[in-house]
Amino acid sequence: MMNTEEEPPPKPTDLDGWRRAIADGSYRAFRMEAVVAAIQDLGPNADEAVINSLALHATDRMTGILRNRIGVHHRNEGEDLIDEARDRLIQAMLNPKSADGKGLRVAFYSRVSFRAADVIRKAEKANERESDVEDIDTVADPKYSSSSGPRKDMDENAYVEEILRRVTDLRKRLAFRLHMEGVPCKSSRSESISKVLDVSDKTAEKWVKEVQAQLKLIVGEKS
Amino acid sequence: MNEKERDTERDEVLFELHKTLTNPTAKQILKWVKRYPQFADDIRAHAAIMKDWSAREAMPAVEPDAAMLSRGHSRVMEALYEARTASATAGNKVAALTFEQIMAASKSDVPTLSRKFGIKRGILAALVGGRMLPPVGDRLVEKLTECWAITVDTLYLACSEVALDRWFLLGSHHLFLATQHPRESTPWTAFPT
Repeated sequence: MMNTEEEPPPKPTDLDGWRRAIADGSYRAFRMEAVVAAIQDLGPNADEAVINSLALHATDRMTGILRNRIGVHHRNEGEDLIDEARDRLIQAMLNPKSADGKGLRVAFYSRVSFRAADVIRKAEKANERESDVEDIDTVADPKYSSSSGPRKDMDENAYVEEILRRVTDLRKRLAFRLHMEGVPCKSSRSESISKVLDVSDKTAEKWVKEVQAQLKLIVGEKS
Repeated sequence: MNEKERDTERDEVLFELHKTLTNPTAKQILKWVKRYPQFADDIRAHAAIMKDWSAREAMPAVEPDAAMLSRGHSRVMEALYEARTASATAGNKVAALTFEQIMAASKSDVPTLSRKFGIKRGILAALVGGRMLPPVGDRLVEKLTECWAITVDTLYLACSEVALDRWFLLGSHHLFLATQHPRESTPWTAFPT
């Protein structure tokens, strides 16, 4: 994934350089920003063998990042969200004037992550509107679990994550994560969960307690 | 600020957030929210997702399966095909720009240009009439592209277009003669000069 010190990537417009990099396979080690810059600066009509190889390589990297970022707990195992984000990024990669196109050649990983977060947020918002099934009272219900029930072999961290995955309200998740980092629900002097989330102290406490109660219940069942 | 501009600015802010941080702390989230209060909800939502990713970093990465990779390959090849087709269409549009259109757009004509550049009217008329053989002289190219505010490619495409038109016109005429009066015809395949 990272560019080696010994062999910097060819300049984006150096078609012969990219031909050589493809022939010897070294293009796979170059920074993705350099690969996208070459795709954009050489343009789709340059040597098809070169552009196709670079575009397929960039798409594979995008898919890898998106698969890792967008969990299988989303509808259709997250595949629809991956397709949505990837289609947008592919179009942008071929359009150097687009914001995503520019972003991919500046910080490939961050741009793909940003779009992954965007589709996740959109999906979770839609889920919230559709139903309250992911209400905190039901998250621990085994029938909503991807596994067949509480898994005895799962370590505690993984279990916390399994539960938090099912809390579709991003604010509640953020509240609980901050709580796990030792951030107080309320504080007049320092940062607090209520300040970060711009909610009352009471609401911040309620959200944290809700998640805590469910975790206790599950951990209790597990032991 | 319209909705599109707002979305663009929002995207810039969130992209910067992803570039700068991976696991934002309470202090960092507050700092970003204070800096961009108009995008406070977006920042909190993205921060929550970034913290999810960070917490799951130690867990085994989920790899894409062959079908998902293959679907990506189809999508990118399709997008490349569309980009190539669009670019060919755009090229044809440029080629369709004739000297008449270029001169009309720049409000110029052969006599005016002749006086302006001190070039014989016949030379310019040969150029715009498709009777000048390439390449066009560098100085003339420079003067015309500057005066008409067009690229060198556009100028040469207009040259090809007008030469092609002339070739087709004369070629068709010779073909017509060949079919009507075979003995009197000139070979129509010869490039007219």
